[in-house]
Amino acid sequence: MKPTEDSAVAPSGAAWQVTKLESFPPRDRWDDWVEYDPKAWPRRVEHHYRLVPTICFNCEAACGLVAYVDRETNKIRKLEGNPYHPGSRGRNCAKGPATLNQVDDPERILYPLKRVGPRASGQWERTTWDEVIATFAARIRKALVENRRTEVMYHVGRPGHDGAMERILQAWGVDGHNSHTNVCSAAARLGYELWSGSDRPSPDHANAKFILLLSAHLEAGHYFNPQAQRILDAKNAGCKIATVDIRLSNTASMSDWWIAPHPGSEAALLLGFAHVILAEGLEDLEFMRTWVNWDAWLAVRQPGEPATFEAFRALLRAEYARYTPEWVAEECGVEADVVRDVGREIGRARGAFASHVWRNAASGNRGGWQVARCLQFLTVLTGSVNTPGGTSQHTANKFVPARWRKPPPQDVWSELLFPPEWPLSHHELSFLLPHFLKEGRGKVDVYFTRVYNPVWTNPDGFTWMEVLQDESKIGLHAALTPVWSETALFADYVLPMGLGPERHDLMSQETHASRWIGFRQPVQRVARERAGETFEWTWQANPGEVWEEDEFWIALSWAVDPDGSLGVRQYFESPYRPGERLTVEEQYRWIFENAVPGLPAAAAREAVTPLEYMRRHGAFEVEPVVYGTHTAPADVAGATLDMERGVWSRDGKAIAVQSRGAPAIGFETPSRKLEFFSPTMDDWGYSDAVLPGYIRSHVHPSTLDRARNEFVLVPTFRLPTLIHTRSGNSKWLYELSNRNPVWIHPQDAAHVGVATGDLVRVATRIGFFVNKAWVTEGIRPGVIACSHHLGRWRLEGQPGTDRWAAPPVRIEQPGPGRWRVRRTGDIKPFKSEDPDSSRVWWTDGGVHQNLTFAVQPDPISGMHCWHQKVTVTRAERDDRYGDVEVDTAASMQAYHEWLALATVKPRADGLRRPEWFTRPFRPTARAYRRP
Amino acid sequence: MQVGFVIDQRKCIGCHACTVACKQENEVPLGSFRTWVKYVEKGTFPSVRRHFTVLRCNQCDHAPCVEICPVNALNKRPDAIVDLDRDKCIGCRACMQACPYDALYFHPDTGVAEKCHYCAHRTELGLEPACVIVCPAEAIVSGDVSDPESKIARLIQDEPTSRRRLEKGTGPRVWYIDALPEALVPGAAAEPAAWLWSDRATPPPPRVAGLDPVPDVTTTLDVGHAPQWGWHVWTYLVTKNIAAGAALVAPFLGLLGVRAGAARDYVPEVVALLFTAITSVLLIHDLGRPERFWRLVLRPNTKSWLVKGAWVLMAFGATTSASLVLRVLGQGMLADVARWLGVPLGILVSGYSAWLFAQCRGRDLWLERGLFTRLVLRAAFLGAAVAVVLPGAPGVLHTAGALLAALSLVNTLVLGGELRHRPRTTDARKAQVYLGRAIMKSQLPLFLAGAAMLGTGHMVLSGPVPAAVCGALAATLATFALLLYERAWIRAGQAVAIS
Repeated sequence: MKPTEDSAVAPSGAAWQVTKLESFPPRDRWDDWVEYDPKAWPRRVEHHYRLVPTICFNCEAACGLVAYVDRETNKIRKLEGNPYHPGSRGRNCAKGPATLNQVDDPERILYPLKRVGPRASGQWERTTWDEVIATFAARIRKALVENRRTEVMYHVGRPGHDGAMERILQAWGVDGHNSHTNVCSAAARLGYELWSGSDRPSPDHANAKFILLLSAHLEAGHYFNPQAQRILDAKNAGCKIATVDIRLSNTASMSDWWIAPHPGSEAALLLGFAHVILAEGLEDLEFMRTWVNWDAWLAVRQPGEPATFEAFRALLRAEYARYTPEWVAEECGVEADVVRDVGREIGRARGAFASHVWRNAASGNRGGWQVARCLQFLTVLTGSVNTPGGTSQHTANKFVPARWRKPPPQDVWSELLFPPEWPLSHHELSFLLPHFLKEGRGKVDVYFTRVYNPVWTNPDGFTWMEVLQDESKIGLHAALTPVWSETALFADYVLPMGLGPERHDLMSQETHASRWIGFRQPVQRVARERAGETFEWTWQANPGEVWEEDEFWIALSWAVDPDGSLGVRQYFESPYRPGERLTVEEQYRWIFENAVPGLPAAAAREAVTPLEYMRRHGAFEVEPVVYGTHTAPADVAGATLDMERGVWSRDGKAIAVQSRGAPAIGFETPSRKLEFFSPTMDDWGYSDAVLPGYIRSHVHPSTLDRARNEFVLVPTFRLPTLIHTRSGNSKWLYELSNRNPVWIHPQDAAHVGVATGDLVRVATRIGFFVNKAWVTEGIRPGVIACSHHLGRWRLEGQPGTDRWAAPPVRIEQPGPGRWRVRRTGDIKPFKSEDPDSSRVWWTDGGVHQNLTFAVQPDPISGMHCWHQKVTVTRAERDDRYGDVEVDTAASMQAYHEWLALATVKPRADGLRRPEWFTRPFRPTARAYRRP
Repeated sequence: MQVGFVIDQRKCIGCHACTVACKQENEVPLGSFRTWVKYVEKGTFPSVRRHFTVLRCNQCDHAPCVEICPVNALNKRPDAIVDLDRDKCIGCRACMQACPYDALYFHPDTGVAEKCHYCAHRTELGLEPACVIVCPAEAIVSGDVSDPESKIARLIQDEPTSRRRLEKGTGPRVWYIDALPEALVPGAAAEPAAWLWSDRATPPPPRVAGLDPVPDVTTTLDVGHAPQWGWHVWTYLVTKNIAAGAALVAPFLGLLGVRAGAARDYVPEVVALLFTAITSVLLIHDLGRPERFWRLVLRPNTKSWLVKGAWVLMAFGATTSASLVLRVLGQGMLADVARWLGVPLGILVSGYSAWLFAQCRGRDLWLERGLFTRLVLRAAFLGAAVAVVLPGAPGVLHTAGALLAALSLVNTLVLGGELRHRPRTTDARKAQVYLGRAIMKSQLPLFLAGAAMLGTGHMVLSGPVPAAVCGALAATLATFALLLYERAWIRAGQAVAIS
């Protein structure tokens, strides 16, 4: 709850007279807030703090934090929630306060480092930011001058900012943005995109009447804390929840239904729900009649016949007639009654059905993108689009302000990013980069990995290691990271970048039916500037010389084009001091003064500048309640109406749809309606996938021989307290989570002959790993599961991943392409300035499974299909816990097998991708067509 | 204002935000927790669920930790918070034995106990505890339970609630809504050797056939609580009983066949004083803050049997010293009076531990009846052991050996009874099983039998040298046997899960 200005919080030293406890200090005292030292208690020793809001950087949710900066030492004492943040409302998960560990981590990288030996030899020397800027600026400048505009690549794991890198890379004129999306959410994005042109859902959980989750939002995922709050708000108000997950998640445990179908059969389950809704007449006919492109489907399926809505209804029922609860029960391995009951609940939630899939089944399976599409089908059937309690497009609830002086789009297309085999991919085929480079599809001259750890996170990490060590394929590699990672070991430069309280960023997320922005700040710099100090660069106020990307890119871009002759420099000049270099403060000042509606007025009410307002509040709600965006009246000045389709277009782009006799904005599709039937799929050669449908997964039960101990491995689930590969620097989080045993059902364990704690060997297409069994009722028979959040390692005797998290390993190459990892020790106590490091009591650290996964790109979405077909046996005599072995020749072969599935041929018109599809860092229209 | 917590497990999602926020707010060291989340899974696929339970100090109305704390470091504040003063605490860790909830821990750097104090340093500023404000689910409700209009009071009034271990009579002030009963009752769920996604800091308690929980309820995530009392404590129980035993046998040495002379006149007092001193050194050395020992004498909590025990030891030391000094001064009559006074004091020195262990309300084994008698019988046994090493009077039957043999037999029978009788609680029964296992594993009965045989041998052997050797061996075996016993008993008491 937000503090009231006249709250009863007692000033320090006063006798305790208050009876009502408040959640937060009142904001008018944030500049000098006094608290008692908990280490001295019950002696009442006072400390004075400046409270500076910022944004958490541990997951993508962008929850608010408030840093307590000690006025004497300028150190951060603690991080609490920010009551003024509309998404997180003052509350946090474990990862919020754990930020303090990351700031104080004795293992952190404090200075820019430069490799001195061969790559991956573990020899580093400290360098200066000046040297770093000079080296990279010269190399990038040369690439630009020589027009090698696909050879500069920025590869990002956790973006954590909105709209920042577009400016940088487009100012350079390169097509060089690569992401982690295709190991994460590409499949779900395609499924959502096909419906509405928005590739993310934004459920309004708080007001829902029924919630269906193909996610674990009560413990993890985007956006765990804000969405968990709202799911619970609904639950407390009587809303029922169903969760689809292979393993028993915390979320499933809190749900009214936990449904664990055969992995990969989820789309069939969802269509079973659709069948129940259609069979029982629960669908919202009026909504569908108005907003679904049913007429386009009829025109294709029943050409020449009258396109009536009744004809559509009949055809629709016929189309999904086969997904009876009984058929679904058989296909999915669930109870028919569950299909019927949940289907009815969804139908009865009419208009207030909230749902979400982001990774889960979508990311596990070939054809997983249909899971999202089928889920959205239920949203559309129940008329729950953009309604209170329904599910909106993320574009309705995310606000990204414009920035000063936008550079033009790049006039170049990198096929290392968007190769012709996957015209509909969402987004870059990021995890295939080493395979493309090995195949000779191109090279990367300057490579920035930023909070990105492909060696560890991506499938086939050994192929990454091979390519990252090859200087002919990767010319110069800088790892921009707040913390050591397995990938940084292979870089030429390791550049320490700030944690959540050490950097500027602007973020907005679709956490609920509102629009807000949050402002991340380097809190020590801000606190000290409030005290009258000045700094040119944030690294001067941060620990060591830890910098922030915003300033790094400004300085680097300035050095790339010092005289402006390349046309880069103009975008890095100050809007307030013409010709001078932009400062980070000016960058945000301009945004807050010019590009956030309502912010200048709100600031004026408090008699501060917009920038000062954001510095003190840390967040701003641009629009508190957002529903029905598609029904908003459209401005059709200068547009023309296609009478037959009812679509308004301007400059060849559909911008509105005629609805009830007036132009409405509609959806971001060519028809401006929800595209149940996708003409785009038809047009691009996927005519068998024009409707929400069910594609049997590569791990369908028919592909498995249970007698031979073949299982589906579900390797994708997260733990509530960890953050991919960026929590190894938090002792409190690792104390809670430090192993990832293989979950196996008691029946299967008996068949394999193992009990909890026994070693098992899990063999994949390209190798195997050795882990311990965890025999549990919380998993479906025939399936095993292993969290991807653990198994970090450090090379024996080298600097690397934090000792809180990573045991030492030795990596050997017994032959060409043959790789072996063996642990050479446990996690153990160590000496440092933090006395806690001598108290590390856990030893495990988990097992790194992703190394043993071949790449499995979905032939349409380009998503890596994470689920693995594996053989599980008792460990062999020489197997030891944590062992990993892989053959990268086999992994290249597996790559070629999956590549062969992407059969679509390049188009005659040269178009590389549907023009209406989203593409990050969208290039020019000319670049969209192959020459 | 009378604070308390409601933990609403209908809302709790097991995210550990409270755990980490508390660590940050109170700078809790690794390995220790003021609040933590336990996961218990119940059912079979697909009808299985994971249940979360937030465990912490109950700010008890009748807090056993406050009662046992010898130096008033723990105190119940007027607002119902049980607070701990780190400047007073001597680090004796008795509070961790008294608390039936595992709520306290020992800080390895400061050598004092710490616990959840409801973030008193925040509430005094008018702020809610750190765990409350961080909770994404608003599952932790703080506030004034005595105000019927408050949210917390209304929840307690309107919703069915449960509290942990009410049978302990502690008056806990944390109310749970919709908690799984098996999660609130320690030992009601099976425990694997490692957790779902964490190592175990402490091994699972040994299994006890017939008392183990049904297999479809399993604890899958929890934190560890290492036993706090170790060799200092079990050794002190023996050294104290040697001192007490020496005093018990002192007036009877003539009857026991000990030769008159300096040995008979002085050795019992010297032994008693020496072992009282060793006992004191052990007790002080065991403290996290030994230099604060004086607080136990000068700032005492007179309800604590640690304090009353210290008084008993001081009185015993004074009486014994007086006996010794008077005898040196040639005041034999007065010395004998002091020696006779040493008998009841010796009984108290031995037996007061029964009342101390009775204050350890977290350890059911130690609460079992008859401890006073058992302690005194062991003191007498060790007294006989003192007597057998003293030189015998020529021509007189050396009955000290017989006494030793007889007391060995009596203690063996008592031990048998201790392992055989039916304890009052399930936890005590489990501990009884652990005790029995440890005793059998350590071959303790063999040592007792050996002591009895050597005692008998000592009585019947004629030559002074063989008798002395036999006596010394008998005394050594008796002492060793009791060390084994006390070790087993101290360990078994702490081996049962209490949270």
